[in-house]
This record gives sequence, C-alpha cells and structure tokens, in this order.
Amino acid sequence: MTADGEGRGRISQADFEPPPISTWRATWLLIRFNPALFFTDAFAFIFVGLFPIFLGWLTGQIFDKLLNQSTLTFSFSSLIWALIVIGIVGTAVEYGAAILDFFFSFSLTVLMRKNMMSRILELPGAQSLLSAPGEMISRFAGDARNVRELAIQGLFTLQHSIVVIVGLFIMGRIEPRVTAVVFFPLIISMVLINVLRRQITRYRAAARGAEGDVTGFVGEMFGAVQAIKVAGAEDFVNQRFRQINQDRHKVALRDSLFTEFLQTVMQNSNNISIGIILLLISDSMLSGNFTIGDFALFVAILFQVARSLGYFGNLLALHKQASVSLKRMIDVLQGGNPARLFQAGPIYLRRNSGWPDVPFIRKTAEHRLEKFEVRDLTYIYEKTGRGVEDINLTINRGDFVVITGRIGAGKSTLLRAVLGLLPAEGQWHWNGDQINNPADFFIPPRTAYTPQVPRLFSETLQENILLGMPAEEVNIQQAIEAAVLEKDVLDLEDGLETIVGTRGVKLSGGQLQRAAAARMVARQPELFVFDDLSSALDVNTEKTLWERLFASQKPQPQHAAPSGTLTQAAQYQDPKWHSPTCLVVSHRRPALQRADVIIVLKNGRIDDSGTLEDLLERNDEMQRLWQGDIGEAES
Amino acid sequence: MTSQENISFRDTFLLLGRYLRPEWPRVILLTILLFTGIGLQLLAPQFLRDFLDLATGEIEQTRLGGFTSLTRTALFFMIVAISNQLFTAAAAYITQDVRWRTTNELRADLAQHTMSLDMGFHNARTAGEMISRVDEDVNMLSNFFSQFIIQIFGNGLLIIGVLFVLFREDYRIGAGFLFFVVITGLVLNYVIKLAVPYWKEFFAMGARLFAFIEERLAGTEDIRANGGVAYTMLGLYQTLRRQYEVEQKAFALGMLTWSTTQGFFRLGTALGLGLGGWLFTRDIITIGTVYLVVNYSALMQEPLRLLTQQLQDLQRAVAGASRIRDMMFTETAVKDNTSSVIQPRSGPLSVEFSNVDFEYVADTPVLQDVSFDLKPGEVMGLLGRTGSGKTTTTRLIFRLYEPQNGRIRLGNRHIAAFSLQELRRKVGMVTQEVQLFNATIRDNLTFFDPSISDDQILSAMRDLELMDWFTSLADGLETVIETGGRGLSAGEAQLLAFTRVFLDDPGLIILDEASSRLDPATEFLIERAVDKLLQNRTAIIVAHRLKTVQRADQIMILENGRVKEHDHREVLIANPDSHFSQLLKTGLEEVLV
Repeated sequence: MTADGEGRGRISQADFEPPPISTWRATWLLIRFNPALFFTDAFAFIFVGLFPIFLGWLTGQIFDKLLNQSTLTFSFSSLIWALIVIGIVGTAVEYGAAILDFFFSFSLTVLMRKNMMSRILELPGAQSLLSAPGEMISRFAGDARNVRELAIQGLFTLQHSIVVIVGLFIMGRIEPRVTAVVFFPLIISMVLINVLRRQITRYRAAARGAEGDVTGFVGEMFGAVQAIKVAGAEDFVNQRFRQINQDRHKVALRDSLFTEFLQTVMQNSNNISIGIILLLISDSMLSGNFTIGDFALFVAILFQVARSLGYFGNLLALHKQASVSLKRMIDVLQGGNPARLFQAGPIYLRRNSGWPDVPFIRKTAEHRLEKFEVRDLTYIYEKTGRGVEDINLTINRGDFVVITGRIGAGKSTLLRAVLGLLPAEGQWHWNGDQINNPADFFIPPRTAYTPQVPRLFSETLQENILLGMPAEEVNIQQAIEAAVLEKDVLDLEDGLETIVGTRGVKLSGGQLQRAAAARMVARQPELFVFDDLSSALDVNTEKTLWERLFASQKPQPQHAAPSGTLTQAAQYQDPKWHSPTCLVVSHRRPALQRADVIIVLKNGRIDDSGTLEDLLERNDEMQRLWQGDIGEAES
Repeated sequence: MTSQENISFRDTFLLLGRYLRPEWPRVILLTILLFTGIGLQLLAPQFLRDFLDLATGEIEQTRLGGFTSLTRTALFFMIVAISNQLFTAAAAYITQDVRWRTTNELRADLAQHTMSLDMGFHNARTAGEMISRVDEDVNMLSNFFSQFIIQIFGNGLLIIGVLFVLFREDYRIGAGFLFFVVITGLVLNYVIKLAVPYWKEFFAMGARLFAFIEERLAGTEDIRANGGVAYTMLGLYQTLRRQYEVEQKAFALGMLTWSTTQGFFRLGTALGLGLGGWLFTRDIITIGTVYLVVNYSALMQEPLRLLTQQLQDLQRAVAGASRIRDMMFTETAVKDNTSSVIQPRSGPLSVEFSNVDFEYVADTPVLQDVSFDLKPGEVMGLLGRTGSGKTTTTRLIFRLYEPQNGRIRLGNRHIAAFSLQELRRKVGMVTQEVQLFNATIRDNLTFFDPSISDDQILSAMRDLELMDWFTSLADGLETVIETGGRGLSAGEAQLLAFTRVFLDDPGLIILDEASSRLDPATEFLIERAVDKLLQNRTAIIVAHRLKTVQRADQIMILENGRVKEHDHREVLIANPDSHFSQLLKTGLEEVLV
C-alpha cells in the first residue's frame, strides 16, 4: 500500500501515537461514572449470555426424552410447552436489558461530549480549537461513539468470560477432552492480532482521519459557498470533494478488509475445531456414553463459547481502534488532564433532573475599574513566529485607548493576549491587584469584547444579545439604542424575537457588528474592548455609535457615589469617572480623534504611544497611517 | 401504507437503481458468491444428520479409503463450513467496495446540487447542518445501497431453499414451517412499521446537535469573553436531552423488531422439536432427521433476522432518501441556462439595471426601482449607509438572488441568458469577508482549478506587489492556510482575495468596501495594483467612505433601497446643490453619506 490514500495532510504522525492514558484506564473511568447503572447492565448482559445455554440444555433434555434417556420426569409435551413459555419470557427480559443498555451508552457519549465542550470553553478562546469546527464534529460524533464502546466492551468482556467459564465447566463434565481444542482458535487469533496490531491502529487512524477530511471539507465548502459561486468554481471544488471521497474509500476499504480477514481467520478456526470435536466425540456416542441430548447441549454451548472466544480475539483489536479515537478526543483537551474527558458530573438527560443554573454576576463596587495595567505581555504564534512582544500599557478609568498599526502589526493578537484569549505571558494588574488567571478574570461585568468578525448563533436576536443573562436584569432597549441597532430591529420581521439565522448571515456585516456591540453594552462592563468595530460601519453610524456608547454610561441610580475617602468623592465629580473605559483597535479617524491615548503597534511591538497630536508630530509610523488616510481624501 | 410513503419507497428504489447500475460487474460477482454460499449453508446440516444417525446406530457404519463414514461426514462438514466462510468474507469485501463507490457518487452529486442552489437556501443553513445532510444522511443509505437487493434475494432464496428441503423430508413439517414463516413475516412487518415515523426525526435531531456544536465551536471567543459559558453549556444539555428523547423512542421501537425476531426464533425451535418429536415417536423419521429439522429452523432464523434488518435499514434508508430527495428536488430560484456556450473574454462589459425591485422576504422591499447604465470601462461608485441596499445590488449581478421585477443586462445581454458559470467568470468580486479553505495557498487562490499554472499565480502576485509577503512563507504556494484563515490577518486574507480576482481576469469587477479592513498604509500599497486591475475593465466600487470612490466616473447614492442620486461624477461635482458635492464641500471623509 502506498501512502497516497492516507488522507491529505491532516493525519499527522501524532495520530498514531498512543493516547496519554490507556484504553483500560479509560474503560475504568467510564465505568466509574455510574457504577450502579454499569452493574445493573452487567447483570442483564450475563443473563443474555447464559440464557441460550439454558435453552440448549432444555432442548437436549427433550431429545433425550425422545430416546428415553432423560432424567427429567416431565412429559414430552409439557417440556415443549416449557420451552415455548421460557423462550418468550427470556426474550422479553432481553428486550428490557437492551433498553437499559441504550440509556447507559447514551449517557456515556453525553458525558464525553459535555466534558469536551466545557474544556474547549475553558481554553483561551482564540486558541480553543484544534482544527476546523467541521472536523471537530467528527470527534464529537464518531470518536465519542468509539470510546463509549470501551465501557460496552467491558460489559461484553464480563458476559463472555462468564459464558466461557460456565460453558467450559459444563462441557468439561460431559467430555473433558474437548476443552483443550476449544482454545485452539483463540491462540491462533491472539498471535495473529498481536503481530498485526500496529497495522490495525494505522489503518483505523487513517480511516478516521479521512472521515474528518470529508466532514471538514463539506463544512468549508458550504461555509464559503458564496465565494465559490461568485468565482464560478463549483466544478473545481466538487472535483476536489470527489478526490477526498475517493481517498476515504481507499482507506476505509483497507480498514474493513483487514477486519474482515481477521474475522474469517477466527471463524474458520472455530469451524475447524467444531469438526475436530465431532471426530473426538464419535466414539463416545457409539458407545452410548454421550447422548444425543448431550450433543444438542454441546453444540449450543460450543457456538456460544466459540463466539465468546472470538470476541476475546477481537478485543485487542477493538481496544486498538478505540485507542485511536481516545487519542483524538484527548487531543481536543489540548493539554488538559486526560481524565477530564471522563470527569463525572450531572448530564441532565432525565426529565426529572432539571437544568443547571446560569449564574448572573451583578455588578458591584468590587468590579469597579480604576486602573488596569499590563506589563511585559508577550505572545508569539508558534507556526508563524509572529505575535506581540514586551507590551506595557496602562488604562485609567474613563480612558479611550486606541491601538493602531498596519496589517499584521499584531493589533488583534494584542487584544486577545490582554484578555487571556491567547495563552500569553505577562503580568496583569487590576486596581493594583495581580491577576493570575486573566481568562477567567476578564469577563463581564469587568470586561466585554467584540471580535473583528463577531459570531451570532442560530437563536433569537434577544437570546444572542443576552447570552444567558436574565432579561429582567438588562435594559435591552438601551443596549440596542447604544449600538445603533434600533432601526434594524424594527425592520426585522419579529423584532427581537427574530431568529437571526445561521451565524447571523441574514444580518449584514454592519448589523452583525452592531448586534455584537449591543451584546457588549447589555453587560455594562467596566472596560469595553472592540476589535475594529467600525470596519463594516459607515462613518455616520460609527460616529453615532461612539456618541451613544458614551451617553449610555452616564451615572445611574445604582451607581451611587462611593462613600469613603475624600479622594474617592472628588473622583466622582470628575466627568471621566462616568465615561466608559475603552480599549479599541482601529485605524479610523473618528476613533483616533476621540482617543486619550493612541498606541502605535509595529511588528508586534509598541512603536510609540501618546496623544494624536504628539504622535503626528514625532512618530513616522503614525504619520504614515494618518497620511495614508488623508492622502486620498484630499486628492 | 399511505401514498406519501409509497412515493418515498419508490424514490428510494429509483435512487438505488441509478447508483447501482454502473456497478453491475461487481453486483454480478456478489450474486454468484452469495448463491454459492446459500447452497453450502443448505448442505452443512445434512452432514450433521448423517453423523448423528451413524453415531446412534440408526445407519450402518461403512469404511471407504481408510476413513469410517463417521470420520468422512465430520470432514465434509468442516470443508463445507470453511468454504462458506471464505465466500462470505469475499462477499463482504466486495460489498464494502460497492458501498463506497455508490455512496461517494451520491455524496458528490448531492454536494454539487446543493452548492448550485441559490443563496436564500444557503443562508438558512449552517455548515454543520450541511455536513450532516451531505455526509451522515448518505452514510445511512450506504448499507441499503450495498446490501439491500442482495440480502433480500439471498435470504429470501435461502428461506425458500430450507422450506423446500423440509417439504422433501416430510410434507407436515414443510407445511408447519411454511405457516410459521408466513406468520413471522406478517408480525415482523407490522412491528417494523411502528418505528418508521421516528427515524426522520432521529436524523433531524442529529443534524441539530451538530449544527449547535459547530456554531458554538466557531464562536468560542465571543462566548468566552462575554461570559456566555454557562449559557452555552445549558444549550448543549437541552439539545442533548431532546436528542435522547427522540433517539430513545426510535431505538425502543427498532429493538422491538429485533426482539420479535428473537422470540420467533425460539418458537421455531420449539415447533421443529415438537413436530419432529411427534413424527419420531410414530417412527416416521429418524432422530437425526429431528435434529436436522431443528437445525434448519435455526438456519432460517438468521435470514429472517437479516431480512427484517434490511427492512429496518429500509426505513432508515427511506428516511435518509427522503431527506436527500428533499434536497435533490429543491430547485434553485436561479435557473441556469446551461445551453449557453462560454465565450472567450471580450474586454470590459457594460452593465445595465432597469427598474429592478428585490426583496428577500415578501413585503420587505430591499431594492425599489433601481436603474443605471454603466458603459464598458466605466467605474461607478456606489454609496449609501449600512443597509441601504448596496451589497444586495451587487449580489444581483451574480444572480445569487433573482429580482422580483426589472431587468439586468451585462454586455447588452440579459444575465439569465448566460450560463451561471460563464456569468460568474465574467464578473469578479472582492468582499470584506474573505472565505478561505484549510488548503494550500495555491488551492485557495485557484479554487482548486488545476489549469491555473504557478507562473500565472506568481505573476498576479507580482502585480499586487505581494512578493515580499509571499517569499516569507515557509512552503511557498504549498503553504497550508489554517482553518478559518487563522494565522492570517484580515488584511492578508484580503490581499489573497485580490489575487483570486486577478487570476480570473473578469470583464466587470466589484469591490465591496474591499479595503475597509486594510490599514491605510497597506491600502496605499495596493492602490496601484487596483489601478491595474481596473484598467480596461468595468467596475462597481461599493463604499461607505467618500475617498474610496475618487476614481469613479459615475456616482450612485442609495437610500433605503432607492436611488437617491445618480450621475456622472463631474456633473454632480459641477452642481453645487447635489448631495455628492455637498459631501465633498465639507472635504473630510467623516462627512455623512
């Protein structure tokens, strides 16, 4: 086999490495999630495994009854009736066991999905994803199912062990010689599978990777559908899609050929041993030591036991395959404790389990921003070697701080690093107190943030703005007006109740940014952080937005003057005390002219900072940025 | 069965026929393997009967070539069983192959069709939902495609074969089992239908869950920095519980089919044993034959189960197929004139709008009575506030949407007269939002068009003075852009978009506030490149800002979807009362438009 079917690029060598915790430990952690459920399910599994053997015994007794060799005193017809009744009742019990098992398996996938999601939301927001959202979904779907199978395999292991023990015990009492023969196929397949172990893992990883390629590409294809249409490139994109599909065909076929081959080996060795057993028992049968009833029971057990042994042959392979998925899911955690994937906690599946609270933090004096300082902030992207270095900045209450610079200067990176959305190094001081975990600290009501391309979710506009805040705590109308969104809301079919559609695409770029701004204003943060808010807004709208934003922060009744020192009282008289504190990326003039401090960023470092006037006088970069703007307007 | 379901079933089979036909050599091979397997399965129990009759002394032992007849039958049994296994494995492999071939074809066709649908369709769906519909739905059909016919015929034939052999043993046994098979079939058919209504919902829920997760994954920054984590987790729990409730119902009813089969299984054993035992006590058959009857009744259980499993898959397949059909039969609001022959590029193109009205949603007009006429090589500046209809106007030229009234002409030809591909080749656009693939720079620039050479790409980059940036890339054109363009700044992404358009060489260019993401210094850098791009081309420049339209020959200002002002730039400048010259008078770009 050549490497060309391996799935493009995205399968890295890392996918073949073993996961940081063994599949055995993963199994144990899955069981520990709900041991009571596991053991109930286990009893059901044991019943399901032993029931056919019992039926085989009863069938054998009926054969013996026909030949008058049975020890049972019941009549032939009453035994037939017993077979019917027991068969039906047992089937009903099996049905109940299956329903129970469904709940058990489902709750395990839910647990893993929940833990992955909550870990992703814990990671620095701008680096929380390992790969494209479309590709990540294959980890939430197929991989979660594969790993869940580990616990189910645990149940099967228990079931099959008991079947083998009970089966071998009964068989041994009837005909001891066969016991050795039954192990024959197991030994063969164990040896084979161990030899081929690495291949199994590789093939399975390739198959799973190819699946991720397909889902990832579909996601991008439909995410970029407008660009594709506009470029008239549908045919080429489709050709590529067919190519990726063919790659998956190749690797999936190889994967299944391998599994198929192993299964054939297993079952054939079973058939050979059944034949050998036939040869071995023929003498005892002729001599009458071995009745036809024994034979019927024997065959029933033999099939069960052979199947169970076959299962053990497959077990290693199953673990190898699950181990690939386990690795892919642990990778999602990006360095978190692998056990986190299985961390027990409520999953809210049952109707009577209620819902978790969505806590709301009311703004109090302790959230108040007076001075925010960042020292020696550095973040470098591993892949490109670019980023921001040695950033120092101080923001006082009421400051309007603008970060500017040309493309690639690191402006967005700087905002993300400041907010802990990237794992940056540095010191953060909020009112002089050192902040150790910026990502958890810089959230509403202290700060709120609008990224350059904000995301809205497929919910109502109101739900998107509230994002879980209780409606009665929010002056949503004020937030909408501050964000200059009120006319748009009126134009929407159902106003605030309008589902804003997938990723908010039904809204224009400007509406999207203003909706995100409303989301931010609704939180009444102490520090507003905007990344190039105005890029999709016309000048008028942008200006109105800044004005209203400032007006919206006028003193409000609940913000009573702090009682305390004279200095505090004096500060309260200062108009700056009530104007919002903003940290903004922009190169647009309305923002620059409003700025108290402008920070000019160049190649990831602060080139200069100061007022617009000073900078225009002394800083080349600032002049270039400003001139670039004016150069055209006056031509 | 309702007529609606009949239609779904018929369509499902039409779909099957269409995609299975090209695979006929493999299908024939599979059929041969399968029929041989059936013969071997019918043969194996005969050896067991002989073995038992020999071993209990009902038949005399003989010797042949050093083997007792007992040994011989045991060996024959082994040979038959092993060959059966080999045939099964070969069939399974070919089945997998057929499965991937057919479903890949369907998946690609489906993707191609859905991609051709109008933007109204796409705007209503997330990429996650499309993943589920294009990949997962088709996967549901895969078993149906590869196995359905074979399993239905194969297993049907095996059951008929068993009944035939049983009739040959004794007509009472044959009749008893014929009756039994009919009853089993009827009951199973009833039980299977119970689950049908839940399967479609089952798939819809899966799509919903993945759409939810995908959207949230794409917005982790927004969620994190705005304190929405707990709320997002709550949403996840709610979606998962809804999915559980639907799946649980579908599973419970699906499982009922399996359990019913299992119950009949066991009744079949009791029937065989009862009937056989009764005939044995009357000395009509041997004890080996009783065992044979029980064995055959067990042999029928597997095909009966597989038959019902196929019928179950059929439900899922019908549910999947009906979703695929919904999609395949969704017609684009934009009809393509595929008969149009693609003309070679013919220089700049004129653009003419006459009395165009457009609304996305009924009774909410977005554009009203928009008319303008742009001669080849002219540049029009399109101004207006956010939401005034500028962007929509440009989208109509691509026929991403169809106007309700009015006519749009490109190069003196109605735009509907072009094939869509030709139309979109003739018009190039750069928007603020640049959509990038997780693929190489080359693929992102050419949109996977293999006919564009590296030289063409590099010369386009040279024109854009992108070479400095380009040489800083580690792997040149092979450099892989990360998902969602991570690692690229918005400005770099936009420079790539410019290169895309350069490569396309269109006759009309639309710049949709293309430079708003660029910082002034970089913007200045590409000004010359834009000059070159606009040379000998017609252009529409959409802008919120005045300075963007300095190079325009015409100016059109839109307000609430209507033309507020439209004329040649010089004329507007010369007229001191024009809105445009008042804007200019104030001299600064901050002036309201």
